[in-house]
Amino acid sequence: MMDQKRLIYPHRSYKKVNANKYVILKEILVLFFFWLVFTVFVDVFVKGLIQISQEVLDKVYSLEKSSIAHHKLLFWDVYYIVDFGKYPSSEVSLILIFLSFLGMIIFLKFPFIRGVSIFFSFVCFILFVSSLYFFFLPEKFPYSLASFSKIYVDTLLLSWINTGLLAILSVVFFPIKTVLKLSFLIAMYIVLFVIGVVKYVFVIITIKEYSHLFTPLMFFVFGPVIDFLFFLFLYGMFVNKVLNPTRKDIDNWRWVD
Amino acid sequence: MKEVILLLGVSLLFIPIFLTLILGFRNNSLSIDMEYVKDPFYFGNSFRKKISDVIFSSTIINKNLVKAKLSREELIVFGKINFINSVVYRNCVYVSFGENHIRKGTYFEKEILSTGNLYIGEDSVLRAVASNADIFLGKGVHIVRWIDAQGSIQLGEDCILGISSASKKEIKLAKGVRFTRLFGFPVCTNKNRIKNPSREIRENRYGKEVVIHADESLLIVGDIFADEKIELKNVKVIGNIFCHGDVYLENVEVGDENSYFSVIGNKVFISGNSNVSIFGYIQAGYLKGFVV
Amino acid sequence: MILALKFYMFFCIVLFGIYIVRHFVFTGNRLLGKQKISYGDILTSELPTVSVLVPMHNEEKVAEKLLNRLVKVNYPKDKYEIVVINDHSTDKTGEIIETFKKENPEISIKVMHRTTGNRGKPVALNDGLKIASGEIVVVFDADYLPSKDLIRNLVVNFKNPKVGAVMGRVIPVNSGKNILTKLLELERIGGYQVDQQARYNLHLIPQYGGTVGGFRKNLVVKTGGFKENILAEDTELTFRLYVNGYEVVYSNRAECYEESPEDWSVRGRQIRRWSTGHNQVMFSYIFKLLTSKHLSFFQKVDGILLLMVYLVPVFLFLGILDAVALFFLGEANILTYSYFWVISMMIGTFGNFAPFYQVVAGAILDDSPAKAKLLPLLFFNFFFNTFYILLGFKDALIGLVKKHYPIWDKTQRYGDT
Repeated sequence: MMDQKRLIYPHRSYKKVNANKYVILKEILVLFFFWLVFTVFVDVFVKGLIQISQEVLDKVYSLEKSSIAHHKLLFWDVYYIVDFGKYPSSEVSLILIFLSFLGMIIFLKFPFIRGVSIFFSFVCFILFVSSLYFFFLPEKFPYSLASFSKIYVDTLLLSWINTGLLAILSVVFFPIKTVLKLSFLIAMYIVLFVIGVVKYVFVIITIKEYSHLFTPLMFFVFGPVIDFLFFLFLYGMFVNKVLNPTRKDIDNWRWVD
Repeated sequence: MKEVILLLGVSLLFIPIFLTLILGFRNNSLSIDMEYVKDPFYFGNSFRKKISDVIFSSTIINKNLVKAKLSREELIVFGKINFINSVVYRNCVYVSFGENHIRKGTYFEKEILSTGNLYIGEDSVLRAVASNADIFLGKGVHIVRWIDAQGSIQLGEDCILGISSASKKEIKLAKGVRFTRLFGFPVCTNKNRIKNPSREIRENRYGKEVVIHADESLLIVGDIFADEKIELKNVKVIGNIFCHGDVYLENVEVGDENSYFSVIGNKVFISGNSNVSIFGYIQAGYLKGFVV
Repeated sequence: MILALKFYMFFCIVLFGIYIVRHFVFTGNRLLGKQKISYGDILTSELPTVSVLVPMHNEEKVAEKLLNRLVKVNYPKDKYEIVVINDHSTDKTGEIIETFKKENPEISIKVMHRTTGNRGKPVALNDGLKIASGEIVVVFDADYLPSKDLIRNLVVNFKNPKVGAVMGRVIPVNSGKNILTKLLELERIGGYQVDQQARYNLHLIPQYGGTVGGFRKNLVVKTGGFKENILAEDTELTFRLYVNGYEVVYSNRAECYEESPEDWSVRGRQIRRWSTGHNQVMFSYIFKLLTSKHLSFFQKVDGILLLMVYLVPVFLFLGILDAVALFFLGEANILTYSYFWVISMMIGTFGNFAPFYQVVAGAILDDSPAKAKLLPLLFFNFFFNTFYILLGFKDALIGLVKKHYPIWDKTQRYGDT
């Protein structure tokens, strides 16, 4: 009846999202359906990632070609690259024991952006434990590059599935169109795929070139943590870009009742 | 090639940090209105103040019409709005002097300020109304945002009162009225007051449900709080009535000329056939106050 | 051994799963659910008497600003008094208070200079309660700036006889200062706009935060005042009230500015103190909470989860060590399935007292979605918080065994906002 705004813009304390349960339920169903389809076919994407990674590795190491193997993980057929890594000498391990210990202390005391510096102290801690391990028990290290590669790809696959789930739960309550939420999921997966290729090739080259001593670091730091960091970054940007223009739109909000 | 990949790989850890530091730094603190006070007359007073602030800085278009910046650039009509054909200037703010009558079925998109009594014809739709005297609403009038009177407000049946209605004197309710927030001295269904109560209880009440149906009138000196339902009949309360669920009032008086209180609920039902008189404030969810 | 390590990992996953679900429920409830009406909406001429307690220790940078705001509040003068407790200050705090009192004779200002006995907020509050005459006591730390309607909004909550304490919303005034203050603002947004309000909506346990809040004086005095060796007197009071059949309510509209720490080491010490205090309360109240007849099943569950907030990072830390150990023992397969969950949940939920999705929900409600751009840094804050929470947990454990706790470490003020 009236083209003027129906309500007075509520103060932040009295505000909530204007949505009804059925719309939210519909959105959950749409987003979960997308996620489910992705999950069912995730091994296809992983295979694509492995093939691209292999091509890159073949360009880097033109003389020694890496091979691809696969195994069953639940109902997925997961492909991974099989290659050979290097073991560190005890001198290198010893040097890294000292360097990583020093790094641990320095980063722990570093006065700027302490969250980041304590994180890097954690990185040094992982390296420290690994160096100690390789100094005292190098023959006991339980992983080859091939077995680690398998574990790493399995983790990557599960990380994609979980990040998708987390992304759905994180956007589902927003007062924006379903298509935007879906776009975010797709964009996130594209970025995670690209990062996945870089990460995987990086991990294999690092272990091949700089030894198995870095394997724990690759798993604990350059594994799902990177995916999660990028997810947070993309999510923050998405919220800023997409929700900023809608924030003054009164129809998105309703007075608490 | 190898080096590029290694560099890229290591930088994966740093890219989000640096980008965040660069892109995320510039944003301000949330602002608090340090002078804010919960005031039922806020809308009316702030509108009057805006009009008086811009009155000398406005651009004159003709002897009755000026252009001024309120929250944005608006046309303001000064003069009588008696029986005006609203189609002509319906998107203008009106400042009207003396007693004013608005025709039945008129539609105003913007605020109206009347210095004298204001009579609003049946089924009119107005965005916001302020009067320095009394306001009389005909049957089925719809106030979209707020109504504010220095005098009393008399409502016709089936009126809809947007967010806030405030009067320095009486707000007289009628059947079928829907409201959100009312403030008046008193807000009442009619002028009859509850006779001297025969019994008196001095205590606060709290429960999941508070239901008091007194056969003879009862005085409760204390506040009544409930989680789900408050139902009062034949009761005078010197205290607040607050329920997270619904409130039902029949023959109820709250407060008096010397002390005002609040009646707050998710839905508030007032029996229009009984004597309900509340000195102070009534609040329900958006248009969830009903006179039945 | 391996089995034990795997079992611990499984325990972590279940525990963090519970927390992540809890916070998703809070987020959904705040954005879409039915919001409880605030008692702060009550308008009445009949307000109770109130004493505003302000403990001060070396607060020369901020004392006058707070007192200036406190005399401007919208509360009947005959029912209002300010009680300033000058707690062993060695700077000009005492002089500032006395001068202020002389310059404002129209307001009842009581001043207590504490020069003997122990120093610390709980002790100072106990002494303040002895001279406070109000039925209701509202407490402010010295670095807070109350808005005009704040006292009325807080005090009117006590019209409900079930309410034992009330908590208002804290908003950092200096968030633009540096990265740390920006991150702290995000924590506050998630913690108050979403977490506290949702707990109030869901009839769980909103927390009294020790400042920008109030309590019934007789109730606190009757139950022994503030425990002087507990470093989180606010959390202790919250649980004391609940086990005695009272409620804490949260008033989202009762907004107040605070000055948040601008320095990482100051913030670290603050978290360490909170962690010690909170864990002290956990040791003393977990059994009382479980056996209390006044609490519902869900309140007990929420209460336990709330009590464990500063214990969970300890579990998380042990979980990381567990993960590293399992990795070197060749058991990375189990980690393959579980580690991502542990990592994402711990960071998602415990990065900074409020999980990232809750922070974003709060930022959206607060009309400032741009703040979400800082989320990746919030991720790293988890490591900072965990580090100091571990130190605080260690202090609490030592205290439990040796019955000796660290003295109150006052948060440094800046006074430049």
